[in-house]
Amino acid sequence: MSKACILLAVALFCLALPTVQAADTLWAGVVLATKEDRPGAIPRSLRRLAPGIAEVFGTNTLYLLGERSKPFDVGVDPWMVPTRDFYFQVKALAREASNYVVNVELYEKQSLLLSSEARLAYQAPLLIRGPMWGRGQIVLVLEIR
Amino acid sequence: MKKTERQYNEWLDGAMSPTDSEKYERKLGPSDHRLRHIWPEIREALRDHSKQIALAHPDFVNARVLDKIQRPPHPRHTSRISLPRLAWLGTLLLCLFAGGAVLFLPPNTPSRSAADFMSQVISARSANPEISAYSFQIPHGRGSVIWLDNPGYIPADEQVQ
Repeated sequence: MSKACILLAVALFCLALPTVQAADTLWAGVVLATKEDRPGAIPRSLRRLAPGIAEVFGTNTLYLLGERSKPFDVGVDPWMVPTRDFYFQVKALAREASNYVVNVELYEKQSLLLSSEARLAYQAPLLIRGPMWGRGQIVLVLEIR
Repeated sequence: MKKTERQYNEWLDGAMSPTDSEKYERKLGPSDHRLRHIWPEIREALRDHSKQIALAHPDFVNARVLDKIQRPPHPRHTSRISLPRLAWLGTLLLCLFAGGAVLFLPPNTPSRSAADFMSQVISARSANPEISAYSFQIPHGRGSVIWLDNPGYIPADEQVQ
């Protein structure tokens, strides 16, 4: 009987879990995307993003030049500095049911490169085409995780 | 009582058969023989000097002893918080928590379209007039792309930090 009770308690606990909403995290990354004869291993934090980047930029290998994660919510407005040369300021203007309305400013070496307003949904990245570097393409990524 | 002690007592009391006694005596020393010789006198002296202790209230003591014997043993001390009780308590608390969550937390699952789960660019403008920016959705994904035209070139020998 005690085993049944414990199982019931565990099942109820699992049912109750989704009602708890974890804090959101904003992830920013600077990625070098290249097309190589022998594709290299994709870094773990880019595996989910790799198909989208490959489809848009026609590349097959990704190098993570820098990344940064911070807790994110309305009013937090973090500076995301994955690398010293490329960094963001992200302001959450509103929080909607499944996404954030954000204002993004992208800086390259202390000068403003891009200003944008966007809706960022959970695990739906915003890719920004950066400059070319050598034979590769710099891609700047923002994502709610 | 050990077997050796029992045999010794039997020999001392003369309860052993003559044949066994003869065999047994071979193992013993002269001090044992001397003890056996005076043992009847010692036994008599002990019997004469040991007196029964008279109890003041023998019936009362007897009743207490009988009561103690007949009383059932104390029940084993059990903790009031047993495992099943804990499990039921946990279940009850979880039910209360789930009920409270349903009642008091605002519903966060209204009807949503697929677009709600996609990132979308509302506006994008480059700070550099020579760079134009436009956006589109990732063809088979939920993400979005801001495409900067002519964003520049970093030489391969220059390091991106």
